[in-house]
Amino acid sequence: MSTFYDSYAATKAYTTPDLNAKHIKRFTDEVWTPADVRPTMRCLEIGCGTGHFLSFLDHMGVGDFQGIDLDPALADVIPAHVKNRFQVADVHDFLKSDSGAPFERIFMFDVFEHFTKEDGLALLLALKKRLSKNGKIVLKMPNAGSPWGLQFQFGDLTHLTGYTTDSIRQMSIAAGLRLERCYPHLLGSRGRRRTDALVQAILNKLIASPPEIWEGNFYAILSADPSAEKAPHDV
Amino acid sequence: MTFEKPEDFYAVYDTHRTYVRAEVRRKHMREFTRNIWAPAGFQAGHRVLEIGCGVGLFLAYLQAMGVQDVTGVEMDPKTKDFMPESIAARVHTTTMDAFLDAHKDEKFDRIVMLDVFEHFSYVEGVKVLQKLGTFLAPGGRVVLRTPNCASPWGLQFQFNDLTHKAMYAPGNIGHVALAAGMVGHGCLPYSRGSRVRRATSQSVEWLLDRLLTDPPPIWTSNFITIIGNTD
Repeated sequence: MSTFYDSYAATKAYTTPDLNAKHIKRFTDEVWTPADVRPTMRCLEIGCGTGHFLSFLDHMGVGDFQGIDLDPALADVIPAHVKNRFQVADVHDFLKSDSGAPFERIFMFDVFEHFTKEDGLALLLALKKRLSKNGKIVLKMPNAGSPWGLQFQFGDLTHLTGYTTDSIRQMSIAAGLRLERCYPHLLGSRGRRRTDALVQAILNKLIASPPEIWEGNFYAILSADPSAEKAPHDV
Repeated sequence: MTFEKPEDFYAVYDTHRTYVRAEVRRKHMREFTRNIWAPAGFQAGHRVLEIGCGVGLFLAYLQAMGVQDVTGVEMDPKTKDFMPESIAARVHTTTMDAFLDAHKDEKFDRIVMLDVFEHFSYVEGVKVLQKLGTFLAPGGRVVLRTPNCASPWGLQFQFNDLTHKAMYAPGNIGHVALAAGMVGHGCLPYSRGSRVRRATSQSVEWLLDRLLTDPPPIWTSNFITIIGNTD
């Protein structure tokens, strides 16, 4: 593991997050609706950080959810009402120790790029074993295919792999999962999004090879693929 | 199989990639002539080897340009299903090393690798060039097409494939050639799209060149590098 994790808390300056109406709308539009999450589902967030999304799941009435992260410093900043849902744990150790029902939704936001390609695949294969039949894995990561994604990809020394929509599809195939869709992570005010979309539309008309997604980060939803009973790398 | 290195993603390469039958159209003729044939000084009498020829589109182009002596090497057997017969007969389904080791006395005027060189690490790339250099006829050239990591438009090509191991730009690929004891004969843009799209793209690049303090030396998402022996 990278030695830069030793000083991660200092570089990230953790604070306890508030969940306001704007955050609720954003999580709803970006994750809840596209991934068809329901309150009855068993959910896991890997690399939950300060617990912002855990707070959202709690707010939406999800009864069975768990967040894990490697950094023990986070225990001091996780919101009090979801503290009992947080665990400092390595994901593989957690998956081995968890004896509950399979997870219906697994979330990893700004996490998957911290693994090498090989470890990323090993993680997806391990998660697939703990995913329910109709389960989904929701990833958010820097968009290495866009010039605006570079600041996110190279803004952290612990990032080990750059992904585009095409290479995350390649990863899904290797894991025997199905890439349902990729979509941009939209940031900024409504006005800024409009100007951003305008610039993208103009560039799409002008340059020869525009990226599929321009935004600096993108989401990918992976689901269990019934046609791929066994992935090429399953053992 | 165990999964320990980027090459292991080749196990699902045929599922990830889309194969299209190699049919040389007018747009391919224009594109290859503009970006490869003319700048790399190809001639109909040349002996040409393409490593990683895929479904054989460039080999088919060479035949259309009157090049009789073409050879392809491709390790993916599925590509032969998408090759014209005249090309399939000239393609060896094997690895580069296996082919070269079995043809040690052969010389080629041009050795082409399109979207292949970035699949080797920098160190492997040096070794590949050193080996290819021994197969070049006098005045011969190695012609590489790689994603252009100096350009914002090149990133999607670099990061769209988990088997890519090296990132190249006009500023560093010459270093690999020098390390291999060879010499770079230039890096050139590889332009795609219709005439109108190329014109608008060049206009944007021209404007950005005048507005930015550090524009990339080549804007196109991929670029061509021509390398030769030091003779």
